[in-house]
Amino acid sequence: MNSASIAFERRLALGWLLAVAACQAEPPPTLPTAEHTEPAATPVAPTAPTAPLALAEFTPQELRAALKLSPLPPLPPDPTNRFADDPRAAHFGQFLFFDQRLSGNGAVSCATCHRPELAFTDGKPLGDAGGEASLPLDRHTPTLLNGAWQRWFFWDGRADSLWSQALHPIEEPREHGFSRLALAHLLNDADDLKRAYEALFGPLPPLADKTRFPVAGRPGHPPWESMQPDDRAAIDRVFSNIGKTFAAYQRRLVSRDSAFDRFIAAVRAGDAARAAEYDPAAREGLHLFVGAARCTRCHSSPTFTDREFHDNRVPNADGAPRRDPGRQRGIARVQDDPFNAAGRHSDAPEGAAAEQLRYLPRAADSFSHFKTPTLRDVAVTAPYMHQGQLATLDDVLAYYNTLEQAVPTHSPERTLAPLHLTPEQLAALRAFLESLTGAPLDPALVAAPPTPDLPQ
Amino acid sequence: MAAGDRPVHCEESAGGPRRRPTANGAGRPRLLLPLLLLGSVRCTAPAEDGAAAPAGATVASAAGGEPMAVVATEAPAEPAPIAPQWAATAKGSFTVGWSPVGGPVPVNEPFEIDLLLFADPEKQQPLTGATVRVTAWMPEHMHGMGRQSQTREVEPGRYRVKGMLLHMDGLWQLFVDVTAHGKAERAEYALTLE
Repeated sequence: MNSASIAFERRLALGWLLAVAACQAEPPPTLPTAEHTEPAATPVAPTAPTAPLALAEFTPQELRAALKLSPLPPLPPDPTNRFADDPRAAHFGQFLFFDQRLSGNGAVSCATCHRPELAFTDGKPLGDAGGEASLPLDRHTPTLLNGAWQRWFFWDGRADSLWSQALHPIEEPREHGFSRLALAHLLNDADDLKRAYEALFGPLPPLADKTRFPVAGRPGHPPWESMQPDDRAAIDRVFSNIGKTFAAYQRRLVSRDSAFDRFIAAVRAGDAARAAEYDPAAREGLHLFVGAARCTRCHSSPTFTDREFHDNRVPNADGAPRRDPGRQRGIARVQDDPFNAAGRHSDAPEGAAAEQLRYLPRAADSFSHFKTPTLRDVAVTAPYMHQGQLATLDDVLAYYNTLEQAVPTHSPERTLAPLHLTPEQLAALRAFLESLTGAPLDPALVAAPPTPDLPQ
Repeated sequence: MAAGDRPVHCEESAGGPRRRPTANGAGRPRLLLPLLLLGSVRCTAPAEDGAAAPAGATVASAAGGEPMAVVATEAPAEPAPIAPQWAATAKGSFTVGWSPVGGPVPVNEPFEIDLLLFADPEKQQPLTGATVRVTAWMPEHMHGMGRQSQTREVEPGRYRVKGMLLHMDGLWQLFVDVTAHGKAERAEYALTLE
């Protein structure tokens, strides 16, 4: 017996001697089945004042699944962004969100593609900032609503925070076509922007020195590469600060109080009269959603997404073999991103968000996997899928109902299976999805404020 | 669930005792022991329908080396410690106990695992210096988890697994691949998340 086991033996003896209490229990039980694990009582939210309504057609498991979908929990903190909940940062970020000066051609803002009236999407299959030389992007423009609850950003999850996500489009030639150096100079040259920026973040770098700080450039551009490391770091700090103002604004874009939310609130409260106001077809659709259609396998949680990545085998829009690596490349990009949660511009480089980066596998089996999109406000965010391949909700439901169009893959994954629902059931599912449209946002949040300064 | 197959819930008193259950017998009473100097273990068998079990703390293990299960619901405010689930590796060379750290296994949130490894069925010889890899698989969906966990030995025979995340509810298989003493063997468990 080695020394470790001897020590363990001694601890064992001490345990016998010093145990205050020990007990005997029954032999271990066998693997419980679902019915064994379901409590007899109807599950309730911890704070529910009364027992929820018993929905006759729902099994206890289905009812629990439905209750998990609403309401949205409190806004989660973002320790990587110390300005995340700063009202001045949110106001400045909102101003910049609609400001077309943040583009190479002076005609593109975030709102060009993230249009508030379309739940911050653009209604196009592929993102397209417009203009004479515009080229469509590779993927569909996702909604910005409820982004604060996301874990990864973009269809491939190549960003891990709202603020780092906001930086990518600024320098993408097909979007803003701008650069971090040009952005810094804009902030320095425009009195309104400079005042707002420096009130939040302190003095800008000495940008008047065009030798140290060329007028435009980003990594890979000769002007940028010619700069001193400290000067590049100073510009990166400005760039990340602007991302944090965008994030502070986007955290406020919360969609809640949909017809579905009101129904679940009524169920939780045991209010049968209010629950009866919910469209019966939507209620049937909810039953299918959490039951026979198994939608909550991926569209789980109050944001209707598991925040992870799957291959739903939708064919390419052009019918060609799928070439977009999706999450496979997204993992490499987020791990290599200098603006990720572990980077020098994160306000919590040792935090939980930074730690999770370490465990992402750079493996081939995530090829063509894309993030599960939220379904809140899905009725106003057509078209659908990562390339906007499916024009309507009916098209989406028809796709999942048969999977006849699904492309074959080498993956053994069987998360998806044909639903084999009737037309009436599909219509019910659509009614349910249509009931996920939230109440209109505060009008003050969906337009450019008159100035970048927060009114006193 | 038959009488006698009720899940067992164990609580430790203040003082932070480290649990090291010695139970290994199938079909005979299981004895749970506190092994550090302070604290105690209190075990209760909930009502047969499981309703008395605290949320997220229901622990069930299978007899005879069969797959075991931890059923997690919603995380409690005060996470109850979870007793390790024990299994022998495929050829019986090693004995492996696992338990989630800090409470029940959450759905779609990061968690860590505490592994206890022994080089014998009697759990007398802690297995040191092993290479350990922990993965998870959903047999119904035929996919794994989107994370690659990392394991580090924190004291002789005790390993800490970080980077776990089970992103969907349902049945998961947990695989612990142990390489030591020129042998590579796997211990398997099952857990159902809801």
